[in-house]
Amino acid sequence: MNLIVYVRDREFYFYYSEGKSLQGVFESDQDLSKFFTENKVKNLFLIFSRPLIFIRSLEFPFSSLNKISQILPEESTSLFPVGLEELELFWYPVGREKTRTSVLIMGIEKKRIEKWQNIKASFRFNMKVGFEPFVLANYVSKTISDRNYTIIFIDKNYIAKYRVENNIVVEGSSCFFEQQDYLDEYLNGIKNEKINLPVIVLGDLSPNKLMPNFRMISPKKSESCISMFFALFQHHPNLSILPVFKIFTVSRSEITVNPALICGLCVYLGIAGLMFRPVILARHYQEKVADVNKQMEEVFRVAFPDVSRIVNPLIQAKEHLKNFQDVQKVMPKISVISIMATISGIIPEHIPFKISQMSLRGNDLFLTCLTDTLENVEIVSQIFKKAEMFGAVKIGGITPEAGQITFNLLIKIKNVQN
Amino acid sequence: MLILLYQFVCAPGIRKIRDLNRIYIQKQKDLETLNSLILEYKNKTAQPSIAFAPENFNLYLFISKALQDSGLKSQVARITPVSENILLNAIEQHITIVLEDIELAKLLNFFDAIEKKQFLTFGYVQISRNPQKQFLIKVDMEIVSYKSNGK
Repeated sequence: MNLIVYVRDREFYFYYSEGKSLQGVFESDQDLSKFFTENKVKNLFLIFSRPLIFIRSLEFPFSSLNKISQILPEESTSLFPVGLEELELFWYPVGREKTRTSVLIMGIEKKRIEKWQNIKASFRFNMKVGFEPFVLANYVSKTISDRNYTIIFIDKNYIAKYRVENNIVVEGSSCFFEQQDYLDEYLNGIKNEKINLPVIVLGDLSPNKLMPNFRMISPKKSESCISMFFALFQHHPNLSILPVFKIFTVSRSEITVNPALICGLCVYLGIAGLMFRPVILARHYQEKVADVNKQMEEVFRVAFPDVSRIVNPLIQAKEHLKNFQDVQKVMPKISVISIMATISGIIPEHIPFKISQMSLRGNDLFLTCLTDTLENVEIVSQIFKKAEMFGAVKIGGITPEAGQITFNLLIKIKNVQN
Repeated sequence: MLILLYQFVCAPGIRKIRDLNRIYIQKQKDLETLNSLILEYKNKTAQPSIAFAPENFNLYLFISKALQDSGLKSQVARITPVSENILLNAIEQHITIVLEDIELAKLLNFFDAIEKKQFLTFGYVQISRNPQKQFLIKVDMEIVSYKSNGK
């Protein structure tokens, strides 16, 4: 249940299953769908011929394949007629010395493979991609023992030439021809080439056209066989499409975005960020504390400009205020003459009134007075209360004595002169 | 990694925030207290300033002269030497005098001499009438003067 698709100017196919063999050409996409619907395919070998492969060679002044792998995409950008992003690149070293490495780069347009990948996704089969030169080289190596040779592959109007050194394909070219004369000229050209390698001719060539030193390998081709390429597989059913040497692919930096990974990373970064939040907030609080400190210093400096060194504004302000309390102990300036004059002025003449003692300390005035009746005591006290100079007036002890009333007046002086 | 971050970054940060927040609240209270203290200080300093005696003023000599001018020198029963209290921005000088059996008119003259000087004030005054001689009085008084201490 294998299918070989040989892509050249057309898409030739060779299907072989248990006892069943089919060959033909996929002319359209409908043909393809129909074929895959009708035939069960397990393995598909998709082989591109030389006209569809871009083959370029490059030399590097070192031998590290890792390094080559890293810089090869950049170095080969200008070598291809299409952008690298449109190409699937394969490369392998063809000559390797200590300080020099030659590599052969093979490029195939991605769209040519993608078409088959879509079919693969629909019909579910295994697919391997191969290249014509490797298949031819594998076939020839099964037939001859030489390691260096030139392969001429002729299939109807198609001719391809590959140079193989140490069983590694190092060069290749191909063309289509319409007239037999062109083929003769082509073969003459190969004959006259300076590189003296055995020439192995594979394919449809009449023996009379065979040049001297050319060796012909002509696999048995059935009548139904539509291409000499499929005759190789008929002759060697287990013919490998992969090269005998290691071939490297060029991996470009395509970032595969895994949404779950991105989400996880975001959550992780979010949590990690939250962990740092207290540190940031602490800085903010520190700034706030520093602001208050600064504000306190400024307020203090404005209030006490004579202080040169500020250590603790609060304590220093308290100290200032405490010192100032001493100044507050300064005695109020009260005019004793004014007090006496006020008293003389406010007491009516008809009221018998005499002061036997007057004591003044600060704002407190203490009078020991004499009058004749208790009523007059009250009248006198009311008169004192009405005086502007006196504030609170209290009557102290009242002592009637020998027809006289002795009483004390406790008065707060209001009108303090400074 | 996250556990380490919590242990060595997040948890200490939270503790620091708590401490700083406590300090911040305390500082704000301190600022309020400071403002109120300054306001109190300003209110007190806004009161009229003390009148200071001249540098060469001598309280004792002045009182002696005032007593003589008022005709009270012979009635001085007791007079204490000048004592000083040093305040924040003033030097307070005291003198106490006891006068006995003096006439009110002379006393008023003496008081007038005192009160004319802005930098003199009475610490206390105690006047009492002589019970036997009604027109004579006894006076016990303290006179205070303020001198600048240069601050």
